[in-house]
Amino acid sequence: MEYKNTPYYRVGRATDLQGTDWLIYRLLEILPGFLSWTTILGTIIISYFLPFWAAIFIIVFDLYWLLKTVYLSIHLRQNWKKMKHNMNLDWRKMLVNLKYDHIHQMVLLPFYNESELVIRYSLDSLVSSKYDKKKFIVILAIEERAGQMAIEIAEKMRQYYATQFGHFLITRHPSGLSGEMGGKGSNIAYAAEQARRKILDKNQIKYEDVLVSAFDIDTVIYPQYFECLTWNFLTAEEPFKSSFQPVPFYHNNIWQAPALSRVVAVSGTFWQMIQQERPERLSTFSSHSLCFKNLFEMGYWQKNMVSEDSRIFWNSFLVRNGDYQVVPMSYPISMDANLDYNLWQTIKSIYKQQRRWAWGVENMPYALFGFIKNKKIPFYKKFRFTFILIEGFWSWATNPIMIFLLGWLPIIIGGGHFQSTVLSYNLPILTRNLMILAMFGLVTSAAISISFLPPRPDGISWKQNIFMIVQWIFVPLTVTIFGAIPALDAQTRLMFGRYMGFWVTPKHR
Amino acid sequence: MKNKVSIIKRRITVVVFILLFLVLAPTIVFYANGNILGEGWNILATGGLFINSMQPDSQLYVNGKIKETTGFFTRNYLLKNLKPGVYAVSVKKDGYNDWSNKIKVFANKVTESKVFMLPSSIDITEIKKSLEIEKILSTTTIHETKLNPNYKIIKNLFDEDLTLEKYISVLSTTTDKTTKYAPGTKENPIKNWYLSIWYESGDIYIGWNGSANSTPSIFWEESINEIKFQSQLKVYSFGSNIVSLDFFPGESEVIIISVGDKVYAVEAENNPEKKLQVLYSGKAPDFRVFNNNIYINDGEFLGQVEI
Repeated sequence: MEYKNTPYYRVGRATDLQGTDWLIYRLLEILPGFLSWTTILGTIIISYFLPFWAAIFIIVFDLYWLLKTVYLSIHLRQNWKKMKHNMNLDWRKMLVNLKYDHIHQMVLLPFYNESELVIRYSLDSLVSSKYDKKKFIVILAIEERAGQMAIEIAEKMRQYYATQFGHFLITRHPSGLSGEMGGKGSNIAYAAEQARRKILDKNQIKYEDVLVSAFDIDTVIYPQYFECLTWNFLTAEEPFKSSFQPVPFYHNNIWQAPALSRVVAVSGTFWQMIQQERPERLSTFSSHSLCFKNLFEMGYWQKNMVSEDSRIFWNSFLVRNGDYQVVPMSYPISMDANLDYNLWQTIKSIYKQQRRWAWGVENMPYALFGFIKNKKIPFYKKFRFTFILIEGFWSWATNPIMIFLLGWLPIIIGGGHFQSTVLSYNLPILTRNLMILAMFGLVTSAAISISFLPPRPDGISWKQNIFMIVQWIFVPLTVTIFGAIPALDAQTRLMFGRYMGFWVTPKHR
Repeated sequence: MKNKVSIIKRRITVVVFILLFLVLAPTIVFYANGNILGEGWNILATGGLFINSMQPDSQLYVNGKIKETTGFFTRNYLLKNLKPGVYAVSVKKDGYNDWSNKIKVFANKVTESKVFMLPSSIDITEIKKSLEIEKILSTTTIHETKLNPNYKIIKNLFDEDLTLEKYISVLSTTTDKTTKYAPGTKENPIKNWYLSIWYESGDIYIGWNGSANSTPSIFWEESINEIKFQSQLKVYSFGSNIVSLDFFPGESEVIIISVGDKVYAVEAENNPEKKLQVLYSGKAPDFRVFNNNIYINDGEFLGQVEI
């Protein structure tokens, strides 16, 4: 726990540090954007001055991308099988031989200005859970700055739902607290501490007996989520040094959301499914769970930054000297796909949400700085995570641009001399063929996404079934416009020290 | 235990994919650059031919063997893995002049050749000096003769005393207006982007004024193994006085020449066996290119080539 007592533990950005530490941290903030821009601009420059070498680089890059796509597809398929199995499993039977009566489920539901309908949908799903409701500690965490309307909605929820759970608490996170940034992290950290004082300590509930699920307000659980979580907790090798990560589905409004939004949402699900098969790469994302004991020891979620969901993993990893992991649950929870008042607003929301997720790049300087400062973390773990972080954020911002936009560049700007080479003629043919091969993966994607779809609601035309398949042709567009560009946007902001604040995704039904 | 098996399987998968990458990457680059393995595992650097702008339903022959019959959407043909050397390429289509060429293939290069085929029979529409207009009055129909305004404009283009100023007034452009209009001489070549053409002592030349890096393949030197560029090329020797020359409308590497009793189209390329294609045959014709059309003036006859 030594690292917890250092000034680096709760650093949110370079400006929180001074002297050499500031300089190192600042350089690490510049690193991801620098690498991505160097790749993109470097490709453009060598396409003009050294088109032959640019073409070779692009061919090799295309091949790397194809093999990576196939490699990831194998993981996706593997996790699909596991998910199907887990969703059909009776988790109560799995718990029969385990003692779990003492486990409490604390559910944090932070909300700002979402509608009553959205909150009811989430709370109803908790009510329909088969887990003993007396063990539930439900916290409705509202923001003071949301005003009277939020309080009224919360009180209405209390009247309707409080008696259905063991404990029900409404917390009101004060605005403008020193050292905090307005957002989910500061809200749920405040809520968890309130719950500790008002419920856990008061009722003498042991911290190690409480599993905390930090959800979004639109998170809808599948019926046996808490049984699955409890089983994973009780059978984990290091339950107090682990976080538990479900797979986020975006099914709450999947039939109402436009195709672009669906493709982006399902792509996010697929990425998490792939990561679940590579737990050594996994960090917490969005809705996740962990033991209150660990959470309390870590001092809750960090309050002075945006991506608290992943930061809690890095906090724990650094404090535990690398002895911390994420346990993949391969079990879903469901949230909202982006859906706003009209298509244009939805497109803007998708972009802003993706940019906020890509702002997770702020964890890269935090982790790498921690690797430098904490000498007790084994070198191989530092090396592995450094590679994972750099490669991950670099790929996110550059790969689609390289594949779909820059692949033809040497032919266009490489000059007549290059244009008359065999390589120049083969470049588009090879790029096209490798891309066609990679696109076969989309067939798998379409099949997997359909296999998980909830039933089509009344009032939705049967033609939507066709669009659920056809929508996958948008992938080259979505991975570029809603993948690479927001990622590049976020990295560029970090590079220039234009730090982002928290943006609340609108939730409409 | 299950998790350990999974980790081992995944590590094997990673190794297999890395090996695949290490084998496939150099192999693909090797072939993409035009190299192949010849007899005795010798590396052979090959080149290619790119024949484009063929008419639909035409047959492409390379060294006498048919390679392709074109369709509406497949008018180009890329022939790869050719040993460096000279290849006889011809294209045939009913109703069109045959097109043939001897094309040099260079190692790791693709020689591009644009097929230019004129119809065997070309229609020329006469531009009449005057137009006869039929007017219907209440009880009778009368015929009036009116001067054709187009005739005057086109005829002006052939005026022996035509100055650049007059010519430009027709074209509505602005450059030097005092020079006498005599394009096509070495001092006053006709330009099309970085290409320029001129005639001198009965010979037609084409020159390249762009960067060496962008030199079109027609300016490549003959050496098979090493490519050098020349800045100008003799296209054809007529040995007699050339009346006019210009670029064929829409074709940067095809030249129209009026010489003797004919107007010809000839492709600008370094091929001594190239054939002239006749556009018009008459007594002493001259031509002008105006608004992407070709106009012929032969004595009293003034006409427009229908292509």
